[in-house]
Amino acid sequence: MKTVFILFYLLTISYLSFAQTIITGKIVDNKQKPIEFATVGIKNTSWGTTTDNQGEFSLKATKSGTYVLVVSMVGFRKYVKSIQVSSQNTRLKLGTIKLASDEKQLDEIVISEKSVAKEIAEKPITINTINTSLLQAESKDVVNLLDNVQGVKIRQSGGLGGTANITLNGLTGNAVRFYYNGIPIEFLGTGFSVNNIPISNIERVDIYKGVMPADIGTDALGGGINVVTNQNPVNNLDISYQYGSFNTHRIAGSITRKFAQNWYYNLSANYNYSDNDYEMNVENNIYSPDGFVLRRENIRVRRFHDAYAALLLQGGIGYYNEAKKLNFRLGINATSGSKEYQQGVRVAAIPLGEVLYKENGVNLTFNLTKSFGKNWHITYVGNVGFSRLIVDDSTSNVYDWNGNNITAQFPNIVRESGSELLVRPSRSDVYNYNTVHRLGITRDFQYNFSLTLNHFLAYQDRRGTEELAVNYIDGIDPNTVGFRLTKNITSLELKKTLFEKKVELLATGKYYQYTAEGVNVFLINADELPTTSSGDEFWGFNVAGKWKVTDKVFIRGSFEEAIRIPDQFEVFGDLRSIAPNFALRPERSQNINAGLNVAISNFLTIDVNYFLRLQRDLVFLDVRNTSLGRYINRDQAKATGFEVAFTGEPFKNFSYAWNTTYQQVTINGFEDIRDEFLVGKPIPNIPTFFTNLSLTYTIQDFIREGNQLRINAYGYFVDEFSFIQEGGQRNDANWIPVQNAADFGITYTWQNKLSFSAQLNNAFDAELFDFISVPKPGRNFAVKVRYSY
Amino acid sequence: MLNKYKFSLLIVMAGLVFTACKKEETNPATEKQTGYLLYTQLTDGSGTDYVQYFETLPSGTVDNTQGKSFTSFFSGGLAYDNYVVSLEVNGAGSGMSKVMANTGGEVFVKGTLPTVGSTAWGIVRDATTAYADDRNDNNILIFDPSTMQNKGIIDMSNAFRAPQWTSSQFEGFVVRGNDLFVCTRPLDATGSLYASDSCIYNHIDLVTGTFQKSFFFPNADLARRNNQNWVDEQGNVYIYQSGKINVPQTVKPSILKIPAGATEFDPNYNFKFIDATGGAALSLPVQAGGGFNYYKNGKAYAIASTSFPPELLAFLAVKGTNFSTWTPEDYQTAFGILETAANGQYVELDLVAQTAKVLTDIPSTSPFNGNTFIVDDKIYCVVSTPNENALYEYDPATGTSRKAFDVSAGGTIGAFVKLGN
Repeated sequence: MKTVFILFYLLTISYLSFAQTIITGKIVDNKQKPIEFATVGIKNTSWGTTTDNQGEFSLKATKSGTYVLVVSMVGFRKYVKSIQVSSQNTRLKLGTIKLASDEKQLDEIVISEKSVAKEIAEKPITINTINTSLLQAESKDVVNLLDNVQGVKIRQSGGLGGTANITLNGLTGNAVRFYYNGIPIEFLGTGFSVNNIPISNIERVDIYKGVMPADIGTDALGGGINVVTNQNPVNNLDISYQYGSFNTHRIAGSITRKFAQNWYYNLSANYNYSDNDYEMNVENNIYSPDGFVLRRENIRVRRFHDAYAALLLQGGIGYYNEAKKLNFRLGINATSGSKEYQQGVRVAAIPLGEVLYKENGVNLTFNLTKSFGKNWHITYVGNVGFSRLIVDDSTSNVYDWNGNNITAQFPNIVRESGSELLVRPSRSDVYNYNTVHRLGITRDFQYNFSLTLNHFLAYQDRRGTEELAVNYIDGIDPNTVGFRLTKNITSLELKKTLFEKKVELLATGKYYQYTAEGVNVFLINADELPTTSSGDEFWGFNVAGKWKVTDKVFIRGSFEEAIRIPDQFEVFGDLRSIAPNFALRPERSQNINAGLNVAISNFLTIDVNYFLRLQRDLVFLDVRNTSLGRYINRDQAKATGFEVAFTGEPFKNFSYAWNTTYQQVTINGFEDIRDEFLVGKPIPNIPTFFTNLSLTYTIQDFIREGNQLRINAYGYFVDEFSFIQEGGQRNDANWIPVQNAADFGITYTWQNKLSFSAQLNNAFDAELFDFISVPKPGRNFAVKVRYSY
Repeated sequence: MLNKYKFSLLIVMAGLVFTACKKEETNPATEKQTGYLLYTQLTDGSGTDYVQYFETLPSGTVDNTQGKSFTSFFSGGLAYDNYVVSLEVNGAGSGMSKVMANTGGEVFVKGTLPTVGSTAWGIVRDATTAYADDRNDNNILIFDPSTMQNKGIIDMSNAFRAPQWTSSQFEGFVVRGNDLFVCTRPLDATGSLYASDSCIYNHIDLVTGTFQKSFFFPNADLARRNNQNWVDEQGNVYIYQSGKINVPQTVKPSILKIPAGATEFDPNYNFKFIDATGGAALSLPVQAGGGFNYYKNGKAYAIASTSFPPELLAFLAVKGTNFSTWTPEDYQTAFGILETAANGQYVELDLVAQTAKVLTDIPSTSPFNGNTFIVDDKIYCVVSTPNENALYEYDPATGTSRKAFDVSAGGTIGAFVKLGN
């Protein structure tokens, strides 16, 4: 008996004395970024936990033995490892475990449940988010990505670097604002555009429809697009080179390195170049020796004066301390570029051959986020910069579509205006000095209630010289006086969640104030160049709500009284062919969004959104009455429509995304009663129906474990739409025809570090037009190699 | 089974995406020889112009949006026989379009004259000869309107040019027998069209096809429009010069004259027809007119500013008439009032007696959008105000007016042409 008791005692002691082994480790992604909420467990046991915001985990094993550690996270491939738990060791440190991405599909919201992007997409405000991290191996750019989002249509004039016009829920032009890390892009200088932001630097792109949040929004009438760059303080190196048709080269490189404790620096360089010498059909003049046009012939030519070059250099140093909840970064960026133009609004029988735009710019940016305790949070972003735009449009030479300067051969053929693109010749050198500041203070209260006060201040000073100025006063170039614009926008935002965050409510009040000051060119009998000031103040607001009905279903709705302040050109003219209008009022819009999102199964998730925009005081360029045009408040308009997106993975490794947008933008009222018959008619030159489809098939462990092959197919359809009001008798010349095109791509990724991709765009060589008579490139290709570690 | 269904659905979706729809093209048939064309222009800044064909004279209320829309139809188009030659109508930026109606009543473009510049000014001499300005002060185009092909040029390199001009164009074309007269429209560095203090005309001998000389009328301005109707039965040519739009007005609108057989202005003929209407017109700070058309027997028709807009009166009451004290904003306000005020009336001019009679039966309209058209021996006058958009008819035989028709949709009336004149 005693022996049994002793044995029992020894066994008990031995059992009790094993106590436990603490197993620890850290889970990161391929960029060394910590993964929060990853599930870590020991197979066939109850031992498990999830990672914290540092990606770290700790779990207790209460028995020695050989086990299988399993780490899983949506969006990543499962990690499995055999481990040995021993009673000799109270701690088992597994170190850093890197999870490989489980890359799925292009388009829409495709990443893990708890990611930042998904969180944004489920806010009460209608937002689409593109997470670019999964797409950077492909030969795509920001324009391609945006054009795949429901409700968004990007129209480009020509090839790379061409003027890009964004239509968002039926609103276009200045009604849609573009932001770069929350800074309105128009305040970053002329070098920043949607064309030259490198995709490798971008973490995600947020598309806001109707309502803009207080921490981003300025005076946007219909929404905005915010490009968020990757500023994570993790060691990373990313280099890529892409070559494509029309002598297109894209080189990008970035490096981020941590040093000391909590400090990091990053550097990046990006260069884009293209000749844009794609072929198109044109009418070319044939001249008689006497100097008149004998006839026109239809020929197929290569564009010869449409080259684009853009360089973007960025650098920064930052501090990141999660424990102290402090993060700041000082960055600098420099841009330099040039753009030739082959045509104006339309492709004409005489091409442009010499007009050239050049720009340079520098910006200094400071970002800061700091939390005090649990309840106070401060964010600040400030930017100071200048840019320089040099325009040379001053030739009387005439070119033909074979690229020949025919002026010497036909001296009677001249450009009467002395310019190719602009109404009057220009050799201008204009500087923009800009500064932008945004300060946000958030206080979290009990009961899931928070208050955010945000103030946005922007100042822009534009002045320069025009060598060929229209001298209103002898010897004084009005461009040297220039223009100044100041904007102040203050927002107070209330957020409240209810029922365990199933219901989220948002309400924001906004105060807008602006002052514009500049040279007044509407002069008669003046002895000096007088300046004029104009300005005003307004109120706006928005409300939004979201209800998470179940884990798979949520609905949301929002309303905003939005305002867009007229820009400098609209108020002061352009000192060439557009006169000022100091009485110009801001554009206003009442925006309504309503949406439903249902995740039916892995096969199908449906996202449906309805939108309504009631706009008034829309600004139009009136060129009817005098030799000078002038911007005026003219119309009321109504934009309404719906967008539907279907996404899913019907078979293993095969996914799709299909979205469709239908919109009608109609005239809702007029100031002049003679135009009342137009009420209800569509506002022309806006697409009304478009749809995009993408299909992706992924083969994991292709040829070798850890390697991946992905095949993509994309289809685009845009229904025809009219450039002007159509009459009872159809005029085909008024219509931008149906666009129907397909792209195909293939990407091979080796060990999640090195990738090779090839893309065939417009595979069936369709004739495509975004704008009347200006064709887009035909069939073209791009190949890309990328190394990322 | 389920997988096949899913796959099939995806194929259908893909097929819908990749299938293009194509519209049927319409082909014009043979042309109408008679009828009427009405052109209206939207005022919304979209640049939409409507042109509609009518078999018979329109009446009642006309919806001109039932016609065909164009980007750039020109109200001053060259009307001849059963067509109109206009600025290129589909926004190509150069060329001239020959616009007709087919037997189905559809307006269509028969052909396009290729030019270098954006060409609007010219005149049709006969079925196979026409002249046009090609935005080039070195020459005038000769073209065949029956084929819309260029035939040659008239060398204008010896025409007068002032050194301060950046360029010039030719408009105000008039053909009298074997004489062609064209007005020089200079541009200066400010881009002003009114860069000359004289009305400058040029004489071309159509027998030799050569430029002869430039001649001047001082203290006058441009002759505008295409002028099919500026020659009387005796061969006198009457030129409407538009005056200067400035304050104080340095040149008032007037009618000039090139006497029959002469190739110079009559220096003693400067018919200030707006003054001739008397009354408030005499003290207007800015006189404006237009729509000049010669009828017959020394009679012509035009629009003239004849009254003070009440809004302008109120403004002057506050600002006073010492214009040297006005700010640029004051001028902008005053011009804004004048541009839209309905202070113009149609007048019958006796070019011999140099008298003007106001056609009081026709409502007032803005002199900036007023215009006259001679159709079926009657005078058609545009009335376009916030309250009315119509064409009025004046019958010189009876001296009476009536409303011909209202235009309920399509914008401001720009031109009314009879085909087969």
